[in-house]
This record gives sequence, structure tokens and C-alpha cells, in this order.
Amino acid sequence: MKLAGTIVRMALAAALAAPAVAAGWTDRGEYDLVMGIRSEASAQKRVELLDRWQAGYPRSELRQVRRELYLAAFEALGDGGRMLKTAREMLAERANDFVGVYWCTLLVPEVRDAAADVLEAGEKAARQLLAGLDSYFAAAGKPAASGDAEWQKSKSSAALLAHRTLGWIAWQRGDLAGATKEFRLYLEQAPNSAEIAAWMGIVSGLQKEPDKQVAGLWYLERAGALRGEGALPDEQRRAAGALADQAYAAYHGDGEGLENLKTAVLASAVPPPDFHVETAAAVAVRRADEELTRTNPELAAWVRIRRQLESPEGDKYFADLRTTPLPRLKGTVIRVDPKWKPAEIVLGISQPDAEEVVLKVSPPFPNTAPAGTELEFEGTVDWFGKEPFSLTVVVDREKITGWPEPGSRGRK
Amino acid sequence: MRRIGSSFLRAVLPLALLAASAPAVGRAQEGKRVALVVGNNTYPMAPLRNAVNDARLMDQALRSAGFRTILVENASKSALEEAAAEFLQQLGPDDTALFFYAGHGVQIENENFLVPVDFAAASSVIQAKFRCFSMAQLLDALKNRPRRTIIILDACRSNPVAQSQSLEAGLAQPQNAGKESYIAYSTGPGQVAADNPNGRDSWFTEALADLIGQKDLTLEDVFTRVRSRVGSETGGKQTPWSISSLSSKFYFHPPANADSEVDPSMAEKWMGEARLREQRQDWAEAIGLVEQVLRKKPGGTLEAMAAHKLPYLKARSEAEARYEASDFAAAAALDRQALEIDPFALDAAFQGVNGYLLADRLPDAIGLLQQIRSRGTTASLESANAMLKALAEAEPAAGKVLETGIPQPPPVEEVMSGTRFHVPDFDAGARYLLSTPVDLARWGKEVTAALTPPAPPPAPASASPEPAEPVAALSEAELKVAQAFLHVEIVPSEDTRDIAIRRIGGANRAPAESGSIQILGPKGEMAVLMNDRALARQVPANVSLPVGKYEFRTVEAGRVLSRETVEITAGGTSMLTIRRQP
Repeated sequence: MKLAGTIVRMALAAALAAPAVAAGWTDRGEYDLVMGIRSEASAQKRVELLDRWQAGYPRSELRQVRRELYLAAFEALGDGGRMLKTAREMLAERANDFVGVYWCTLLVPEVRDAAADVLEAGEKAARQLLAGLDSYFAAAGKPAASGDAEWQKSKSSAALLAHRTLGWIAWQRGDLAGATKEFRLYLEQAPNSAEIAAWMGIVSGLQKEPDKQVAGLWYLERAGALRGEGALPDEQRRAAGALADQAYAAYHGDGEGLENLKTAVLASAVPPPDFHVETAAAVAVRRADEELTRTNPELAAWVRIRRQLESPEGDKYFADLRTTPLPRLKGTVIRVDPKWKPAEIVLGISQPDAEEVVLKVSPPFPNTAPAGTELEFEGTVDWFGKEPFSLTVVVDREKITGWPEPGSRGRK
Repeated sequence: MRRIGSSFLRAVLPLALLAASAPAVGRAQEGKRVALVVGNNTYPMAPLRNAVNDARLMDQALRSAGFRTILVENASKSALEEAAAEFLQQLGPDDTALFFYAGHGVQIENENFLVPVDFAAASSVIQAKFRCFSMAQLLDALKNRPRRTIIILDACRSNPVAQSQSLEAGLAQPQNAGKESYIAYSTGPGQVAADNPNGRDSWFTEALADLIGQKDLTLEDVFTRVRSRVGSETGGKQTPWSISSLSSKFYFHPPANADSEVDPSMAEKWMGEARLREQRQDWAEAIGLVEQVLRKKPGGTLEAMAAHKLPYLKARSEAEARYEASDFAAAAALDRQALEIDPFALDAAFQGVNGYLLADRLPDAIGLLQQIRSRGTTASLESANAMLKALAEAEPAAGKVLETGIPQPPPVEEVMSGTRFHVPDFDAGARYLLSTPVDLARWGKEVTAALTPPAPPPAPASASPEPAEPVAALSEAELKVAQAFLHVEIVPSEDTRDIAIRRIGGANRAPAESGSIQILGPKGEMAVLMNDRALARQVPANVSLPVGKYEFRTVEAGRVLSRETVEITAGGTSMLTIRRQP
């Protein structure tokens, strides 16, 4: 019995002196540290214990596992910055590490650090995630607790995440077209993502082309209008709506048509091909036209004619115009040719001294008219030039009123 | 089976108890709502009509909102101090503390003091301070004590107490409000509120109590509406004031799904809280939180973790109850059951050992010690070995366990069984994204600016563009026509506008330096406009402008056809050719 006791004591002493460890553990001290981390409920204290593990066992075989535990603890603390740092360390250790790739992709837009190295790391991770989707999500790698459908859903979400990040990075680099492309890819798969609609709205609005700016208004309004799955939380939804309304008013000049837009955006993730919003300047011109039509219909008619002649479709408009008589117009004589028995009269219509219209009169007038004489005429267009603008109108002398009587010297 | 003697128990039990209780910390009262409500009417110098009614009304409203209240009416200074001490004692780290005061208040040297009903005229300001109740002291005591603090002072009434001591009426802005605090006054700092001579309660408290009773309103919502209601009832004479450093929403009566609406990561937070309660062996709270998580059905790893944790917590809770009822065998069996659910719960194992020893079930205790040896830390191994060694005197099986040596620690994946390694936690990723707000504010300004034509510059003489050749002012109709046709529009860059604005503001009243630009293009066409003025009726034109950057746009019918930015330098002449097609 005494002997047995001695053996037990010896065995115990030997066991404590040289404790066995499974593969992975450097020694039992490392195991003790991890057990402490396991039972610690406070994320902050878990980080402290992880720091102690890191300091005591920097080259541990379990260092990648340790980084995963760091990620979880930082996630609980909402510390995206340190999460990203950890994910980048994981990728420095193993460039295609699934966990590192995933978190680096997810976090780069979240930490809002547009430093070149951060963007580069994010792009690399996102491209790796897209390139490795099939191998990362191979059936063999599926955790036992995940169902097939859940695993496939995670795969789709990971692909979306990569497009989100690539779009964000392009945006931060000023490549708005690149950002648009990635966000469009995202919205094709997940049309109800209000977040991406908002981002798409911003990158579209920041572009100079009017059609893209108008599309930006659509996406912004949609971000603020979406409800249900994919919608922004209430507060952000309200902020998005307010931003969208503000952007619309900035572009259009006021809120006219906004309510219709709010309804329309719910129907489609992308604006329809004929979607159009007038700029504030165009609205001002339209309203000015309306006012001019009311107060000076002849001038308003001329403004419309000249604008259409000068538009890119001016030639076609001119061809149409040749077949119909012009409405009655008013103009001011600038000069006549020849001075006596004039057959050509150069008029300003918009402004009294801007040469715009040449009247070819048949038969010529027997007398001249001084500059400044105001005429009214009806006729048919014959020729026009864009640069400088000039419209030639064939007019029957009888259709001109306001020409001075022969012998008269003053203006009429 | 051999019974163990009392001397043996004296030797082994302290070890078991020590090991079992090691991870436990003191229990705390968590998540309560505690309010101190004070109403003072009976001032000898200047009695009030409504303050006590106000306090009663608030007491009722707060109790209906789940507050545990301490109501004090017509409080002397000592009564106020005692009530404050009781209030502070009740507060735990996760609690919400609310202090409501209706009565006279004064500001002395920019500090707020509440006037007790036994306030006697003081001969000096310092004496007056000592005869009043210091809000600064209360705020100091509340700092870092509860999770959040709400202070509501209806103490801004016209105040003869203040007048008698030549003190300032109204309250001062709080100087030392801690983090996570919300402070509200019935009117703005330094202003005086009325006591509603026609009603039972002050306008402020009447509105406040009513709105506290309404469902789904956040604290901010409540005070926004109180401000509106009091403002309209007093004809705009009284506007309640508040300041907040709260980082989360607080509801007196939360909507049924408030948490999920407000914070998508709430289930994760509950789970974190549950783990803290578990660590404190506060089983009931932990169970409640885990059940809350399961009711929310967060899915994924979080739900799986909660589902796994619940039976463990229930076993531990029941074990503790049995143990306290001296039913040690049943308690130990429940601890063993908990250990089967979580094989690394060493405190459950030691607690079970303790129960089995008290129930005189030595082999069961040795079985649990053996389990501790297979998964324990060095410290728990040493404790288990020491206990086995002591037990070996009475039970040879214990010695045999010791002889088997120390097993290898299990792999890390087993230790961290709730954590999935090498595959991302997609649920955590989704939660992270949901809980991170979309940062629209940062871009809102930029995108709105991109969509807005820059505003024309102000037109002081020094900052106005001066055409080289005077142009007769265009009539309104002429301007409209010019704008309708192809024309050149000059728009100053934001920087240039800022310079102009600063110049007008007086920062630099020196005349603006200018330069000129020769604008070329199709002869006889295109007016040059800026700020609804014609700088030239047509190009080519020479235009003088204050130094700065300008965007030259070719515009037709409101459509910008081309843009070019040109910097005008002092005394310099630039040249720009405008083309119809960009």
C-alpha cells in the first residue's frame, strides 16, 4: 500500500512536470490561456486575454485560430478597425484564407478609410472572394450545421459582398463608372437593396452626364422609399429620403413631380429608359416660354422655331418647316439690299440688332426702309445656316406690313 | 459504499467549494428603472401651487412605465439628501435612473441648486449654497453608476427665493453631465417658467406625464412633443429645453418590436448579456435573456448557440435551487447534466463534486473529478488531483484515477465548440452590416452640390465682374431669350464664391484684383451671361472678372453642352474658344 502510494505520487509528479499536449498546443500554459478566453463573457477582457496569448505564444500553431477569436471579440465590441487589421494579418499569413478574405472584403467599406493600401487590400480580397467562390463554397467545406440551401445562400451573399466592396473602392478612387458597374451587378441580384440603391444614387449623381444624374435621382428616391427586406433602418431610410428629396429639388428647382417619382421608384430597381427629370434651368426656360407665349406670342413662336433649328435635329425640323408657312412674325430691319428697290431685308427678331432672318421679297419694294423699321411678315422658309445663324424666308411683298410708304422717310 | 466521516469532509469540501465558486462574482440588480421624484410646494417665502401635484402625476406616469419610484413631497434638505442616497443605492450598472424635481431652483455661480422647503434666508451666497441641494453633486454621484441617467427639472419658476438672495432666476446649463445622460428643463437655461395659475399641474409636467404614457415614443420624441405643446399653450413664452448624450434610444413604453426595429444586433447583445449573467451565476437573468434571443429567432450560429445554452442554464439554475434546499444528490445530478451539455464547464463539475460529496456519493464525485482532469486547466487539474489524493485515503478508485496520468488537452476546436473555425461567421457579417448605418450624410452635401448649379456670387461692387465694354442692361424679355438660346454662362467656382463672400463679410475689404478673358466663338452668336447679367451680347468678347476660378458653360435651353474651367489671374488675360459642339 505504501509502495502504491509512492508510485501514485511519482506518477503525479511526472505528469505535472511534463504535461502531455495535443497537436496544436505549444504547452498546457497555452491551453490554460484559451480556456480562460473560453469562459470570459466580456469581449473586452477576451481581447486582453488574447493579447496575453499573443504575447506569450506569438508563433503558436494556433495563431490563425487566435486571429479568428480576435475577430469575434472585436466584432462584439463593434471595433471594425481592429477587425480589418486582424483580417489583413490573416491574409498576410495566407493570402486566400477564407475567413480573412471574407472579413477584409466586408470591412473595407465599413471602416471608411480610403487610404490607398486599405483600398488595395479590399480590392484584392474581394477579387479573391469572387475568384474562389466555387472552392470556398464547395460542398465538402460546408459546415455540418449548415443546410445546402443555407450554404448556397451564403455563397450568393458573398458574391454580392464582393461587388459591393469593389463598387465602393472604385467610387473612392473616383472611378464612378466602375462603381456604377459593380453596383449594377449587385442590384441585378438583389434589386431591393436600399443601401446599394443609395450608393448607386450618389455615384450616378456625382457624374456629369445629365442622364446619369437623372438616374441618380431615381436610385436615391428608391433608397428612401423601399420597405421590407433590404430596406434601410427607419432612421437611415428617413435620412435617405430627405437626401433624395433635397437632390431632386436641387436638380429640378422644386418638388414638382416628386410624389409621382416616389411611387414610380417602387416598381423597378433601375430607371426606365424614358425616365427624365427637367433641370431647374430647363424648367425656368419652359416657364419663361410659357410666359413669353402669353405676353408676346410672336416672339415666343420665333424662340421655339430658332431653338429647334439650332438643336441637333435642326435639319430635319427645317425640312418639315419648308412645307408649312411660318406663323406671322415681327422683326426689326437691320439693313436692306439693294438699298433702293430692296429685294433682301435683314431682320433681327430676338434682338433688334442681331441678324437672324433674311426676307427674300418678291417683287422688290419700290422704296427703301431705314434700320429700325418694325415689320410683320408671313412667308415660307427657304434656307438656313447654323453658324452663324441665319434663316432665309421667301415672302410675298403683300404679306409684309409696316413697310414705309414711298416718299415717307421716317420709321413707321 | 463507504460513508465518509466528518473529518474527511472537513478536508475535501473546502477544496471543492473553492474550486466551484472561483468563477462566480457577486450578483447585481440589472436593467431596472429607478426614479426619484420630488415635489416642493410649502416654501414659507414663496409657496407653489402645483409642484406636489406635478410630482404625484410624474410618479404615476413613471410607475406605469415600469419605474420603481421614490416619491418625496415637500422635502427639507435632509429629506432630499436621504432620498438621493436611497436612490443612488438602488442603482446598478445596467439601470436607468430618472430624477424629477418640481419646485424652486436657483443658479449660484453658474451651478444649479434645488431649494428645499426649509430653506432659510441666507446672509451670503456661500451660505445659500450650503442651504440648498446641489445638482452638481447629484450628477457627480450618478456618473458611471447607472447605464443611463435622465434628469428632469421643472424648477425654473419665477422665484422670490432667488430674488431675496439676489440670485439669478432660472437654471444654468449643466456643467458636469456625464456620459449617457439626458437633461431636460421646463424652459431654457436662464429663463423663467410659469406655474400654470389655472391648472393643477404645470404645463410642462402635464404635457410630459401625458406623453410618457403614450406608447412607441422615444425619449427624444416625448420631449419634442412636450416642447411643441408647452410652446403652444404658453403662446411661445415657455420652451422646454433639453440636452442629450445618450447613444441609444430610450422608450418609456417601447413598441412590441422596438429592439429589432432599432438595433438589428440586439439578439447578439442579449446573448452577450446572458454570458455575463452566466459568469455571475445569475441563472434566472441569463435564462430570461437566452429565451429572449430564441423568441427573436435570429437564425444561424447565434440561435444554435442560444438553443444549446438554454438547457445548460436551466440545469445550473435548478441545481442551485436543489443545493440550497439541501438536496445535494439531485443538485449534483443536475450539475452533471450541465456538464454533459458543456463538458468544459469546470465550475459545474466542481459544484457537482461538492454535491456528490455532501450526498456521500464518492464514486460519482470521483467520476466528475476524472472529467475535470481530462479537460481542466492547470489550476483545476491541481485542485482535482489534490481532491483525488485526499479521497484516495477513503476510496482506492481515486488513487487509480491519479495513476492514469494527465490526459492530453482536447483540440482547440473542441474547447471553442461554439465557434466555427476556418469558415466565416456569415451571420456575424450580416449583423455587422445591419448594425452599421449607411453613411449618407457624408455624401449628401457632395451629391446635392453636384446636382445644383453653383449659386451666383453676391454682387458687391468690388466683387462684381466688370465687362470691358459696357453692355446695356438687357430687358427681362431679352435676358430670357438670351438664356433660351445657345449662350455662354460663367459660374464662379465655390472657392471664388467663398472669397467673394469673405470679402463682403469684411475679412478683406480691399478691392478685388481682376484679370480678363477673351472669349472667342462663332461670330455674332452667343451672349455671355453671368448672374443674370449680360457681360457681352455676343462673342467674341473681352470680359473682365475678379481673380478666381470660373466654369465657362455652353448652355442651350437649360442643357449644359460643354464646360471648361479657367483661372483668372490678377492682371492676366486668358483666352477661351467656345464651340457649339463640345
